[in-house]
Amino acid sequence: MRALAPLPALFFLAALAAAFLFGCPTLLHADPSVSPIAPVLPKGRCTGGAPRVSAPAVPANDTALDLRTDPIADTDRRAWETIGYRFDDGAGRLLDPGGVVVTHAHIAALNEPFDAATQRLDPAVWQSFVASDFRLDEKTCYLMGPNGAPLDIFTMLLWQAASRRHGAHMAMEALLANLEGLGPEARVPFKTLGHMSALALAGTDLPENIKTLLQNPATRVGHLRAPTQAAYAESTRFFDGQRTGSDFLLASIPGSEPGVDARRKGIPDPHERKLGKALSAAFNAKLMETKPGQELLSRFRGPKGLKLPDVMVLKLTQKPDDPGAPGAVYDFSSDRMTINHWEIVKALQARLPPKTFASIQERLADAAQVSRLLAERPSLMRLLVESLDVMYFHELVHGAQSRRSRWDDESLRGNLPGVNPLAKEHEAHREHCRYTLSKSPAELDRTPWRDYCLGLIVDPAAFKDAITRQYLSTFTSSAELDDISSLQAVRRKTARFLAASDGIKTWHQQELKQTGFDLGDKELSAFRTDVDRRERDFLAALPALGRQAGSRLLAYYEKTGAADQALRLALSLPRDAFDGGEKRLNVLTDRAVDWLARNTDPNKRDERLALSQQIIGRFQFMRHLPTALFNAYERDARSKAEELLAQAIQTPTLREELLERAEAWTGILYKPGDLPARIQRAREKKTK
Amino acid sequence: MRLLMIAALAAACSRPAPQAPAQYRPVDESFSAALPGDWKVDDSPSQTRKAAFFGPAAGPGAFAEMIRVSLHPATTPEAARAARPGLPTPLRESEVGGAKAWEFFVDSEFPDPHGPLKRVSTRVVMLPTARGLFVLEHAWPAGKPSSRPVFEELLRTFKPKA
Repeated sequence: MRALAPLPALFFLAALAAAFLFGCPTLLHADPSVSPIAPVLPKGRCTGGAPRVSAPAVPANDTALDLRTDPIADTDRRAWETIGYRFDDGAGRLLDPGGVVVTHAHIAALNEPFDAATQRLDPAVWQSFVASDFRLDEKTCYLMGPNGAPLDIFTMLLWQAASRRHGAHMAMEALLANLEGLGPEARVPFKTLGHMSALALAGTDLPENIKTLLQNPATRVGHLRAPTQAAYAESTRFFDGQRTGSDFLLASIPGSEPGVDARRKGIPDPHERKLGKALSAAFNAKLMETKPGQELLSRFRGPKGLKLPDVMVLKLTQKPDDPGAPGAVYDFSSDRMTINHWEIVKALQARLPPKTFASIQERLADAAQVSRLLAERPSLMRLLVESLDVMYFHELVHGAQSRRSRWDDESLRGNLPGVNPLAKEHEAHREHCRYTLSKSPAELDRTPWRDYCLGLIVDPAAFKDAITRQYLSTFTSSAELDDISSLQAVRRKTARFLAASDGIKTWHQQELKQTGFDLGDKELSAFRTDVDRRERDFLAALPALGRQAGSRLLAYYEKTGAADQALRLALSLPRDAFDGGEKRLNVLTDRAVDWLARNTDPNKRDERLALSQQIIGRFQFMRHLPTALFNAYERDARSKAEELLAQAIQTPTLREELLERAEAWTGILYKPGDLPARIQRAREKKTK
Repeated sequence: MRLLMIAALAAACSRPAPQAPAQYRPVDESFSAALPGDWKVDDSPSQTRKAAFFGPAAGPGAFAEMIRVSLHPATTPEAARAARPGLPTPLRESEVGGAKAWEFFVDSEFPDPHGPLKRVSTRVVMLPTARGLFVLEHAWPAGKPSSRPVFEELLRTFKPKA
């Protein structure tokens, strides 16, 4: 029997297990929402779903594999069992997950390369392959491994199985943390059931006995705790089994394998390296235009100059519209920032005139072609830097976080749970907004980050809460520091249990693990103190940032005649963010009224409505809205109400909300006509 | 971040039915209101924010919604609305805990370096009180159904500290 590359397969399994166990940031950043992509976006042919050119050939003399004549070594059996195969040693047969006897043709099919043209890979697993230096060959659509061989189906299945196993491990850790402190007779908390159901929907595969217990309403904490502890302990044994004795020892030594230098992998491919360096240089030049940019880069300056994370451009998802397609990720395990190829294509599509985009469209499906294009046309590089600099800044903040604390080191050593502290994202969003607000007013006005970052000035607590909501809902590995403490407690308890029950070798490993957990706890405490201090310092400096950004942007709008933007900005900012007080506001209001009179384009209806409301709201009566403009306001509001009513009728799931919005606009009409009655009819239709 | 504790549950080990409301009071006791016991709450102190709740705990939209309570000593419903970007709906009369209030809807965007742009809908209900304007808001992914009854229950049971 032909060897099924069992050793490499096991190697990959171990590598992946370690990547998952110690936190794979590319996966932590997975985001399940789908981005809207225009149909003209070039996707290339390696996006799965294409029909197979020909079915795999089945030899005429295909026969069942006979383990008595073609034995599989014990060490390789684990790999087979991991992907659901079973051994019937009595009959000398290998059975597939469906119980069918495996033949030689079946083995040959598993040895076939994974073909990205016809097959689809789970987006999270695709990202983990890319993070592990697999590269898409655009000609063959094979994922080529670091050893130069294409990824085969068997290895891909093994990798997916390890991904699922790690997901289940993390879910059980969270489940035990949730049950902590509850008595055996207590019902399983609803929030725990909800959390587990959300994880199951996200593809997490809990052990069958635990799933059954969670589905049974009669289950009490006492029923669930013991089997979950047992399954979690077994899973911990599995992942511990991927580590060597020296891994345990090194993880328990304070400060061993220090910092980012030990983690940096570099970029072996000269082509990728060259593009990364060019992009990094262009982004850094852009960052140097502002003080926050200069400050951030200075954090990477050492005696030998700037020591920044390596930058790469890769397809981080198989398709541009895959769920969770990230713009960019910082991977602390290799100190690399990877910008998603598709993000670059989207940026070019958004910024280039349609004709220009069409002229290069063919080349945009291939990552290597894109890098050649950027080298050939510096104007495209400039355009990309303008579009993606905030994203680059954000990821660079993560790089700086990874340098200044030992959190990532302890996480990689297994001394902290493999989850992403929300505090890192709070800081990165705050900082990239400080950068955005420090841009020239003309640039700030153009950036899609403008309103979001002005929100930081208006209400920093609301800004922070919005980030918490976003990350809790889209990245299941995001956690507050208190939650991370609870997970750590579960890990420590399990280590104590294993030390007491699994023999002398395990005792020694688990003792070392607990020493490592002490280091993790120490870092958790230091990290909390550090992020709290940084947040306090930032908030203390925020009013000055608000005054600077607000007054400059307001002056820019006044200078350029954007009277609508000027009034809206002034009314949204804290009053001390600009000079002139009420007198200036009155001038801005008069100019905004003039703007309304000049802008009658139907396509500007929503802008007119927003501005009219601001003026009316400011004075509570119509003093500043001449009759002609008030009539226009009435017309626009009616049109808006009609639009919402039509949407409500077409969208039953959102009907009530849309009807309420329609009612709000109808409520301000002097002559509402039959709109209230039609809204009521739409509501009654829903009730029926 | 901590989870809402249900006093009755802790005392008697009796569990509420799913989504059963828990009476919540922040540390400064500036208000009380009913919320589902499984929503996460962050009530760490800040200038105006009293508490932010994240939920629901279950389903494909787990933790995709936020209910937030803040108290603004020196603002009006109009000014609070004016501070929002986008196109807020006109103010409408509403009711919070039996008292007259004002409300509007607004949509906003959350640009995210780690993923595609997200759109968020928010319903904002404002209750003028002697101590300032209580702003009760419910945010959820735009174009998706929301846990409306949860927010309605909060509005119905909301009681500001006298």
